[in-house]
Amino acid sequence: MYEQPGGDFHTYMLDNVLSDLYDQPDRFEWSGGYSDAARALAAQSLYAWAQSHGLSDPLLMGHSHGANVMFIGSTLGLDMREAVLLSCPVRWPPYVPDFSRIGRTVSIRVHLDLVILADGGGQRFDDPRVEENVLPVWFNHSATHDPAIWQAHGVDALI
Amino acid sequence: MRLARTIVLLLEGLLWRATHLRALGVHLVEALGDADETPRNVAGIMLAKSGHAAVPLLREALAQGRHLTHVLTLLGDVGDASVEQDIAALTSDPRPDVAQAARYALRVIALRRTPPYREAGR
Repeated sequence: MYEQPGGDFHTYMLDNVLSDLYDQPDRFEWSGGYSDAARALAAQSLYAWAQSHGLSDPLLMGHSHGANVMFIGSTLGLDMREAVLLSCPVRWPPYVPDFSRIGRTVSIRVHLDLVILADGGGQRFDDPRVEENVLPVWFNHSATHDPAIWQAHGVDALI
Repeated sequence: MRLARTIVLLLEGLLWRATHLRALGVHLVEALGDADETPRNVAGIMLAKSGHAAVPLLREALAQGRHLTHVLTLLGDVGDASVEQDIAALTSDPRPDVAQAARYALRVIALRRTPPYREAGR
């Protein structure tokens, strides 16, 4: 997961949802860049990070294009038992994953996400391999990593 | 999330992309410092989508030291060889986040010179 250990969402997830959530200072992070090249570089780094940490079949969670970085990572050979996509812009192509490397794919989003609208991506995955979950929240790109939203809408149960 | 501010930035971004009116671009660059992730991302997306047109404003922000990590990230996404020297000067910045953003921006620019990114312009 992209968020810094000790942050509100990381703490909520660690305490309530994923007790084995990675919490060391050398977590994976990327620039959050706005180009395909930035995301491709991030995916290479994610793959290398997973390899260097000996992770096999992790659950990965990514917000916004961070989720697409996970998808690109799957095409590089990164296996994951579950991919949790939070407010992920749908860009197929170029970010079609290798589903043979992903055990389960869960998308969690809000209605009419303004950041995804600005980005020009789609919001709904038209593929039965992606479990779609739309929260009763409008416009807010950040809502899917807000602990209060997770608690209020029982998001824990979706992953 | 501040909905009204986000919508205003979205509209300003669309106008900026159509007109490249400096005042609109400056406003978008300033929004890169917004504490709220949603308007900040909208501003970044709109600047990135305007491509090379955003480079002069981003270079100004870089020279003035404003919102450096975001500005460096965007320069990686839309910049070219003309900005590499400015970015390279920050790779040894004492602020780790700035130095890291500068190094990453140079890697993104280098990758964007290669196929398929060069052909796609992205």
